[in-house]
Amino acid sequence: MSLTTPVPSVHAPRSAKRSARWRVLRKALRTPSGIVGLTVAIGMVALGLLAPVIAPYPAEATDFGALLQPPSAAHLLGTDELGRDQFSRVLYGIGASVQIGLLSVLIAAIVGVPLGLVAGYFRRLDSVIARLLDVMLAFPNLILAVGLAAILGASAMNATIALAVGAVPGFARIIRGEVFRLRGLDFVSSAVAAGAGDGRVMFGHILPNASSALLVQITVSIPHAVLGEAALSFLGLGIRPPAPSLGTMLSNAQPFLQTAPWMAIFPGLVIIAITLAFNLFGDALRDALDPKGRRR
Amino acid sequence: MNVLEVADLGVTFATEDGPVVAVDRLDYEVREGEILAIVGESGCGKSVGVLSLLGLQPGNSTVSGRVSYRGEDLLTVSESRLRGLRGRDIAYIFQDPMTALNPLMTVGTQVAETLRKHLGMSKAAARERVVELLELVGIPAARERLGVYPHQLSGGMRQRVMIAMAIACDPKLLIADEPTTALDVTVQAGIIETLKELRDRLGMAIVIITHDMGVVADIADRVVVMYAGKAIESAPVVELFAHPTHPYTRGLLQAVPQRGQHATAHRLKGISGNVPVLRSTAVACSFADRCAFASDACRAVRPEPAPIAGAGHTVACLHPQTEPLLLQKGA
Repeated sequence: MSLTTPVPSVHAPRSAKRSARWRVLRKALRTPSGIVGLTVAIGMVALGLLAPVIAPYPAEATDFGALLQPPSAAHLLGTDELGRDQFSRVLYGIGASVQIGLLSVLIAAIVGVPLGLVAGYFRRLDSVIARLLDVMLAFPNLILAVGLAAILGASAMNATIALAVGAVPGFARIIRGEVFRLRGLDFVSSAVAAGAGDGRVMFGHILPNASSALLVQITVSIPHAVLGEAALSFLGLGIRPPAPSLGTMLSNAQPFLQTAPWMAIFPGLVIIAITLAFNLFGDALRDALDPKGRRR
Repeated sequence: MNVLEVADLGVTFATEDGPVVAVDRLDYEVREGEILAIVGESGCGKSVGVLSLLGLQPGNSTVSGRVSYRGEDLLTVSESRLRGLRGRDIAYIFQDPMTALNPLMTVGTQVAETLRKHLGMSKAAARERVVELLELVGIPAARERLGVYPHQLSGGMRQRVMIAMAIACDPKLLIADEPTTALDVTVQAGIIETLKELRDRLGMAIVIITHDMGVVADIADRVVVMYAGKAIESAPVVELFAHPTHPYTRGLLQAVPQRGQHATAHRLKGISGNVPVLRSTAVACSFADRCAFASDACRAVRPEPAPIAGAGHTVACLHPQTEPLLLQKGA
């Protein structure tokens, strides 16, 4: 858009911000990775949400007449060692993964964003908060989550908390960096010079302008959390059996890799699909928001 | 009656290479309803000198001296008092209108923010007042512009919005830091005109920082010429242009192209060298190394501002130049 529009249309100014946001989304969706990523991601979330409707069998219903069945018309993805329908369990598993993934990222953002704002804005607190974040970042995310989940005990809620804790530093650092960048800009100085208080400057002027970075961080954090949830469940630290989870399904499948490979293949493929979808969309979004706008 | 009295103002930055003195014992005053221009080349402490008045200087600097706003010493009052003064009594206009407005906030909301904060206006009342303000600063179709975002406006319009924000609470003093530098020449003239009109209508005092002698001649009542953080010459604008006395002021005036001056026949005179970086308060004349008239005395004593012939004219120079400045005329 031209920087100098002498007489802007006075009829449709209200939608300007919204149209700017949509422009970014449209730009992201023009790339193959953006459109594929978003479609698959939305599809996965829908499958997870609709699991109770779509699933042909209850997730925990056993059928000892049909143990370790290969994929068939009756059992689309086969059955496991207890005769449970794999298709139904995968659907419920997606639901659980997506739920834990989204929730943990939400919690991480709620904690991490104010932390980053405060660290970036108040220089005195910065050294304390930044050191703390460095310490947290020194632990590999998964090890941290495993440790926390082990301490808190295995449950879906505790896995969510453990994954959220691991994701907080990412949010805090992104926001802190944005505050550093924005704090030096004239419109922030100008707000301060007009008498705006710290809270107003932080939440009214800095945070909205950091929203695109935040959006990207959210999209790229979700696949990490989904993968983390699968890992925790695989280790028995997440969702407790017999409740369905992609991670526990993988772990169940281990003894049967040679005799019933479908037990591992389908949950594995679904984990890959979810992770890849969010990553692709996140990358497309990041490229679309990149002001340098390299077109490929 | 003086709105603002600045005495012995000093601003020192703590840098990795040691202290750097940006403002060095600066004195000036602003009278009620007057337009004072502060002139000087880049890096001579103009901007930081005015930012420090309300505690807006960068964090790695220390400020000393006295800044008296209607009898209140601004360097000793609390942060919350400063916040109350900012935008209410003393307002700023920043140099670059392209970056000085929040890109995600509508013009209406942005101008209303100050009103709501300082005057406690309701949303509806603030909205009406914003329309008046936008009209006052010469924005056509003001009501329709309330919902517009800054990127939809031209540079000149944005600067007008900035001015509307600054005058929203009817401040006693408006500080404009190079308000026209980032604008086209034609737009510049309009903004200068608007500032003059506002002064006449609202009676506020204006401090305008610039390095453009043309702007000075256009708008100022009085001029302070700054060099290396010091006021080296100050005079009413007519007096200054008629009898520039400090070699630096004369150099600045000679660097301005004259009407009819032909580019091939006369090269513009520059002032050779750069503004020195001061490590401590100067004990000699900072301009000596660039000055054609400098003597040993200039390098031994710091010249203090002293009144000379001509009303309200002071100059800090051991060798004031009094013969008329011969500006080159076209061939």
